[in-house]
Amino acid sequence: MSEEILKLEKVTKWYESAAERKILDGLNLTVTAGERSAIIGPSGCGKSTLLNIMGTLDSPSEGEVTVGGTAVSGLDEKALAKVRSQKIGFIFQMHHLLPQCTALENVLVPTLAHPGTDSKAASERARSLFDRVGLADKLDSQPSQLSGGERQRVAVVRALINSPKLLLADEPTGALDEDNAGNLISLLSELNKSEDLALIVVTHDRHIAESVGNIRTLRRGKIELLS
Amino acid sequence: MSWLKVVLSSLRYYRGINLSVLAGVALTSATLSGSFVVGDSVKESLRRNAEARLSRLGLVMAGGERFVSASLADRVMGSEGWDGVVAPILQIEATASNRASGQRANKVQILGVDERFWEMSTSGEVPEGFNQENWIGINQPLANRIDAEVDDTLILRVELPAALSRDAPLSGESEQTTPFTAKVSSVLNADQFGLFSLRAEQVPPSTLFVRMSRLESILEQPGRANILAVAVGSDAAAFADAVEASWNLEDLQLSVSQVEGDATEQLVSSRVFFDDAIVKSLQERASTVAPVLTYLATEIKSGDSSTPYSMVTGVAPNLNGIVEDSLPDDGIILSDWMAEDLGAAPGDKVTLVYNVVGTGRTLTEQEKSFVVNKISPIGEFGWDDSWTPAFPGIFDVDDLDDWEPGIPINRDKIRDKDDEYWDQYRATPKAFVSLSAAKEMWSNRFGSVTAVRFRETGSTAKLDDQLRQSLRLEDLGMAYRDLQAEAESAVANSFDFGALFASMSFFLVVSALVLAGLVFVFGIEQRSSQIGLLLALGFTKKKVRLQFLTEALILSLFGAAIGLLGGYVYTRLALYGMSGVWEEAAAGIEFVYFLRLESLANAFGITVIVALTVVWLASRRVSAVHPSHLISGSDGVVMTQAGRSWDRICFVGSLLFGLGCLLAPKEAGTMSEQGLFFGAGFLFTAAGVSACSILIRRFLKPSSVISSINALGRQHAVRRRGRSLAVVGLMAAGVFMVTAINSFRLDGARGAERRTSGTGGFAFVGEATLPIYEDLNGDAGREKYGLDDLPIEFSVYPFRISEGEDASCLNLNRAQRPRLMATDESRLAELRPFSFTKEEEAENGEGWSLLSGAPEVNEEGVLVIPGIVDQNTATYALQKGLGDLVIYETVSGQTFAVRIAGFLDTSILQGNLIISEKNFIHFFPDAGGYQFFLIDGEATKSLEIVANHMSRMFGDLGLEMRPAAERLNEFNAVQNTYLSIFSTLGGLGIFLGTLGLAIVVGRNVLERRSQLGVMQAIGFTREMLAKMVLAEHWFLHAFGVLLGFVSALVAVYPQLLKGFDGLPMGLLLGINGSVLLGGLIFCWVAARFVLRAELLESIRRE
Repeated sequence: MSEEILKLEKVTKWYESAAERKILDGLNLTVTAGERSAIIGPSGCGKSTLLNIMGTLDSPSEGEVTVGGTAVSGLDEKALAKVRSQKIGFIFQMHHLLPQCTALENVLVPTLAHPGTDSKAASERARSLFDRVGLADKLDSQPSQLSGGERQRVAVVRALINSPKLLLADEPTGALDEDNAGNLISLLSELNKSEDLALIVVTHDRHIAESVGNIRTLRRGKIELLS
Repeated sequence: MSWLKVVLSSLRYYRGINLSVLAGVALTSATLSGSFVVGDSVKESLRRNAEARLSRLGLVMAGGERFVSASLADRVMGSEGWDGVVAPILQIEATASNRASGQRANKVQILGVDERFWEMSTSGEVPEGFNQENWIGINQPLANRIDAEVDDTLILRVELPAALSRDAPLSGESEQTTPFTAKVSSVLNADQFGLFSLRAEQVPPSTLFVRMSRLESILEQPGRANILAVAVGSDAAAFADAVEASWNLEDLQLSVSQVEGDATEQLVSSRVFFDDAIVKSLQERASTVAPVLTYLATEIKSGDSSTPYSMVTGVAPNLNGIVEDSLPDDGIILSDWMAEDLGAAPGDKVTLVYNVVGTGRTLTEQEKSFVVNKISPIGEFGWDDSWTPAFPGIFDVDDLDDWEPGIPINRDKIRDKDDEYWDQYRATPKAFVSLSAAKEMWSNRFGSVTAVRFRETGSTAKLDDQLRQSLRLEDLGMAYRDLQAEAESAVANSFDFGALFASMSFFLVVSALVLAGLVFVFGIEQRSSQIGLLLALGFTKKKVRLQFLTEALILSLFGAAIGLLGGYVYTRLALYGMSGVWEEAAAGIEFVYFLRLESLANAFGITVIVALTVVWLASRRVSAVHPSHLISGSDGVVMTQAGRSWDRICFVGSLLFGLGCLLAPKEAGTMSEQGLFFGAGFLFTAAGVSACSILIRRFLKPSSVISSINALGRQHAVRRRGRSLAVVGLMAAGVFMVTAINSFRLDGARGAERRTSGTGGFAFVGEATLPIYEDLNGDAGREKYGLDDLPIEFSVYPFRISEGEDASCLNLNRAQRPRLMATDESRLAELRPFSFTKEEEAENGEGWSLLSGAPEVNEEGVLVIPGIVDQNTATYALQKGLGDLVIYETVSGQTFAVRIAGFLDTSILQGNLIISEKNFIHFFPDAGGYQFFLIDGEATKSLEIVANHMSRMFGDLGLEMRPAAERLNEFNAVQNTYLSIFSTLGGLGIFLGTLGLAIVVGRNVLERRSQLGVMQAIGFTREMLAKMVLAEHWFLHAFGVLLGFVSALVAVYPQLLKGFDGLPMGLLLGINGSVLLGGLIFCWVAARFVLRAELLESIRRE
């Protein structure tokens, strides 16, 4: 049986300003190692909220979230930061690269959150990942010198630098053209296999979701498996 | 890859914003370090000023009112245990005028010196030509005042020193001034004692140097000096010991003579009356002593007969053959001449009529009756003229008609036989009474003994020894002063210009920091998605904030360091200002630039700490926002949700505390009253900003309807609540500070006619170099000087003066011994001039009546008398409060204290400690006459005739009359100059505030370029968009200015109570109008500038 990476049990979420409306309503979800899923749903259905809860950036109003066997409810800010740093990788619609740093430096930024990280090993891993995503010659480029697709690939490398077991991608192709979007999904799929990485992609684009496979729909606060 | 590298990369990448932050921090550091170094420079300038003032002079023995033998200096130099040079100095005040230019200067210091004096100058060289008897040197200040140069002839007028005070009975005529001419030989520079003064004041006195021998001759004081000086580095105790071991009777103006035909010796004083300390010392040392008191009876009557102008002696029944034990206190022994003249026989009643002095030279006639005890022949039993002291104007004249004893003489009463008596017996007494009876009648503040007879001392030298064993010169009012220590203390405790400039730059510092904080927050907001990302990547909030704080630390360190260089410019400009346009804040001083590393370190440290605190507070709000919101860029909405309850707490708290300050019991006119009103105004400003915050929240509610393009603009302004509040707060605080502080600007002429004003309602104030002894309100005084012919009613309020240091705001040094002034307090109590800000509760009344308290002995055994002083003098120069004591010494070396019983509001009496005339003459009997005058009258404007007349009549005495308002304005000029400095620095602060407003406008527009682009795409013109942007901001700016102005009016409420003429309304409206208009122009320019960019392009980019 595959290792359980993420487990959401009866997760409910509402906001104080609109408590009568539950964004997530008793949602259950289990993600295992190497699994690949796409979550789709109409705008405002709570996809980003769900992703934030899965990534411990937000906490559920009710229910339990377990990441890599660690129940995150009740953890303080420092412990949550450690969970994110060690077990989760994030990719956002915008690359959010630090404009003041080179591509390599951007990728290495997450290692700074880990005191005691072997910087040499991290640098080698970064170079290896750059090589794998086809950006070996862009290590010292500033973000402003990269194309949109290249920036997003650097963001992918940044998400993988700490060897997470879970990669959460929020509309990762939203800012890319069709070709670059296809390439990015291919890259993520490949990494999913090679790194034994659980991949969750949140998107409103059905075509992208189909490329990822294992589509789940978020509707009325609950997850339904479509394929 | 390291954390520091990320930080450095960020600093480089966001250099635009970081440079702005750096500029704000640098400005703060420049302002603080500049202010502190101004303080260092002023102190160093004062120190150098003191150094130039004293040169190498270290210690002095100052004779006060007394003169010692100049040869005492030689004796001290020859004494055991002393090997330094001792220079005698003869110092006196004079008026001087330049014959060529016609310019006149009062209060000129004349120094009679010999070669030894110059050894203590900085150059150590005797001026060229000094060996010529007619050599005259003047210092540069005197040369400037009377426009004099070498070879010019000066006319000087000095008062001939009297043996005894001209207020004393039988002291001779009051007018004893003499003129002399002097041709200037050289103008001396600072290295040649050109700034010499014994007073710790930075303004050098006008000084004329003359050979001592020549001055002695002019003053008719051969071989006398009143100061002995020794060089710096001398041991103070050794100097005092050497002087005390060297003085002799001559130094005390005492002389011994053998009583003719007797083994008895008699000690007499050229000061006529003996100091009690000397009599006491003699009584302790000599085995048999007979004090003598001889006085003038204007008339001796018996029955229908009378004899005019007769000396009468009181003596104890020993050491003479005239008065015996059996003489009762009501008994009198007549000479045979007198008995015959009166036709009196033993047992007959005889009445003595005599004058006693009151305050000033006022005389009161009194009489006392005696019974004739016996009649003795003149010439026998030692009945001769040796009993009579050398009364000036009596002893030294050949003819009775030439008498000028200082009391009115009715020459019609003088008979031929009186002339014959004078020719034959001179001033021989005509009668004797007991010593106690004599003392009862004629004891006065100058003494109660005119001679002492004694036996068994053996020799004069032995008497010197005996006196020295129990008497110190200090007991006679001569003081040993360590001038270098005094100067050091005066400089160390001088007015702190560093703190003054730092406090006056407060608003500039706050503005710079708020601006830096604002820009820093913009920078953080710009990087909000980065913050979100870092949080998502597993960084803690603490670590993210640490990154920003590290950036801020580096910026602060660099900014503070750069600011230190800016501080140099600030200090230079401040010193330049104080030497020019602001010179009234610190007149008479040549400023030097001087810094202490400690000041730079303090400024650096404070800047870094304060800047980091501001950044820490700013970054705290951003990192409190949820990372997912930061990543999505929706931080603004979230941020406005924070702190709602704080607004209400701040509003209610500030309002209640402000009302509390307003309603709190206050003493009118006190500093605490000003403080409470100022505090109320400040709190109302804070309440206004909080209210603004609450109102902005209300605008945010969905019910708000956007009905116009202006409303649309305002809607955006309320969305950025923090920025809007920063604009309102900055403007309100700036306008409040500048308005409230400027309201304290003073104008002496405004309301000068009011009794409660700083002029006391007096029209003119006069100060004389030499004392005026006459009662200028009395018939005799007015007749003497032609004042009775003037066609207007007026009163003169004279003050006695005991010279000391100027304790007014014009003297930057800490006054060690402020000048004492004394007047008849009962007249002032009746008139009630000036305002009291605070006073003691006393049984003897209030206001000026407080001075009528008699000396009381406190727990330490010190005599304490009440005094009144200007509040500014007490607070800043003396640093004393109500009930505190200021210590003085009497002429007899006795310590006494003046207890501050009342504070006056700013007035023309600033810099002086005022006591009652009665108490003054108790402690300073030798300080005769009046030197300070206030002129009062109904027809204020016509009093100029009186002032001009007095200036003419007393010109030789250096009387200078000036309008009281003009004198008050001299003091006001200092405070007004401080306000000008504050206004300049505050104005810079407001300028930064408006710059902040421009930055906010620019930032708001830049953030919404795409939004504005859309609006342009759908049909809005650039003009409409500019109008909308302006509408977003003008009301914030206007509200801030209005809030600050209204709050300032609360702060200056006490001034408003006096009427609008107490406020410089034109200036205040000008400043605030300029701020309002300038801010609006800034908004408009900023909006136009940003909207010039291609808005549609920004849409395409998105």
